[in-house]
Amino acid sequence: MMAPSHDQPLELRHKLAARLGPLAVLLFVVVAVSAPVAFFIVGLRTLALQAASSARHVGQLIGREAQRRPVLWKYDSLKVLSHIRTYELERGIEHVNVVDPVGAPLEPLTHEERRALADAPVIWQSAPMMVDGEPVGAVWVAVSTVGVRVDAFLMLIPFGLLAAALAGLMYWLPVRALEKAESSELARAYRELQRKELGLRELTSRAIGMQEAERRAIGRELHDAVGQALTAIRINLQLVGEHGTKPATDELVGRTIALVDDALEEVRRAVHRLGPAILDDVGLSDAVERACDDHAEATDTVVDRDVSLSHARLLPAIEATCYRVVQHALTNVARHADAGRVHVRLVATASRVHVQIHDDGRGFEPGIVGPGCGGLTGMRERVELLGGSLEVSSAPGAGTTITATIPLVAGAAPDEPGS
Amino acid sequence: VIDGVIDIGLVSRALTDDERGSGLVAVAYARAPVVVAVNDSVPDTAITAHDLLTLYGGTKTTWSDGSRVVVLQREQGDSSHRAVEQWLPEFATVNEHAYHEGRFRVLYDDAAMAEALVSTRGAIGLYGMGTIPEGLPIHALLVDGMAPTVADVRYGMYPLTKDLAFVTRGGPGAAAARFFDFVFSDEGQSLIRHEGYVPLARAGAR
Repeated sequence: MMAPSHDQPLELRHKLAARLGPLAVLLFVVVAVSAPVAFFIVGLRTLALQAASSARHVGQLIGREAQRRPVLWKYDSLKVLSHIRTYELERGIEHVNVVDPVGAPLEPLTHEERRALADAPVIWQSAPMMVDGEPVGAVWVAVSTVGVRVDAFLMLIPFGLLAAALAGLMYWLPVRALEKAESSELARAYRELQRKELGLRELTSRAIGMQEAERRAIGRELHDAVGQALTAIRINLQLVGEHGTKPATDELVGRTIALVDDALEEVRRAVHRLGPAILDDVGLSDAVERACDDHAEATDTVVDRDVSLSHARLLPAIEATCYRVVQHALTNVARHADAGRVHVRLVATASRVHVQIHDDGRGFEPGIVGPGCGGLTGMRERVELLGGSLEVSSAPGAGTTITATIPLVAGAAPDEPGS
Repeated sequence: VIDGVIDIGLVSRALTDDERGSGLVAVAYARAPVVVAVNDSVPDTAITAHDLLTLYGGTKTTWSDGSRVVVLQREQGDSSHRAVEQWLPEFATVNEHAYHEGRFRVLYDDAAMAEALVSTRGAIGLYGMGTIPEGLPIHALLVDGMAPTVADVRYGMYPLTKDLAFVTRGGPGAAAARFFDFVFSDEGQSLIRHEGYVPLARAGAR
């Protein structure tokens, strides 16, 4: 996830919109479709009832006529049927017919009628026809569903508009409210937070920078003053030894020279620990190159390097941290990895600097060997104090990769992908 | 008759060409007035052609005393309606409109019409069963001043009449011929008169 910067809005509106969008679509569909569908279903049921009622009505009409001359009911029925067909059918009734008990229609359908009925969307309903209390046939009525279909379809228009309005309101009102909040209180609070975080980071960076400078000054002082004094003492002791003294004195001089050598070594180590003075002398690129050379020489491994720093100089705290990450990582490789090849990558973009050290050594199980080992915790803390991140990936037999990303610009994401 | 279910049918209109083509033969035996009948609740006693058109057209809706008119129609193609149409051609159009709008109740035979006239206050309808028998609570309206009496029908004074005929397929069979002989006998003619019709002389089959 990308962290917003000063110029970027909080993007909450987009997140809310992304969640409200499907809901709005659902609301639109439900509101637009449910009423017309319900209307259509109810309409079909009503049509079926109407058809059944018409069938009963026609059955009663014909039945009354048939009652007068039961023997000739089929012939009398035709007269009634013909009149009903011509004048009495309500709108929407497509066909009405009387069938005898074997299902033969009293008035056979013409070929055209048969085809039209087969093609038309109709509902059929029937009612028995009684003469003298005996069923003599049935009246069948076909009702067209075209009207209901068209009406239901037409209902989609107003309900679609209503649904669009409701869905629009449901989507727009919260998004608008959030947009307002985002542009005022939230944004102000967020900017304030960002400002404070930036100040804190700058403070940290300065503190680290000062610490580094102090350490280097102490280191230089040790190197220049104590180291040179010890060297002069050593030379003098050597001279004392060469001028021939008593054997007891020679032995003492020898022991003292050994002590001075130990002290000089201690001073060298202390200077090395206190700070990479080399950064002041040759800059980060060359310092890393030299560290790589030293490692290659000391461990007899191949060290590939890929150093590309576009900035003339980075902040002292950042340079020191990058250098220390490389230094620590190479020390870990030398101590634990048993690697044949190491790749060191140091790349700075406009907004961040990446440091990556990969070896082809034995690797480790991240769960077993904790990230605190080999100075990893110290590295991580330094990197995180500068707003960056440090990742370690490793697996037994697959080597180890340590990646640190440190932002150069306040607010730049430490782990923005693709950088 | 065509299907051979019955030997003699009754018809009160001219046979169509199709029917004649199917071998049907009509023998006219009586002339009947088509009575413009009203329920006895109706105070009116006469009607004009114009009244008929406005009543069936739905524009005249009350009788002379202000009571509501209930028009009863026969189905399309009925012989009583045809008789009126012959006298008053506009009547066909007026009826057709009424059918389409479903404006009035439609009865499908003379007996049903008679029953409806008897039982419906303010009702008017065409009664096609001869003159109205005594005792029924309905009465005939004078049409253009003429009453539907047997005499006025016989002499052509009453304008609304229809001829009643027997229909057989081909010539009458032996039983039918015997029946026809009875109908045209004095006794038969007397019976026809008694029922309110004007007997017609036996003519050749039409």
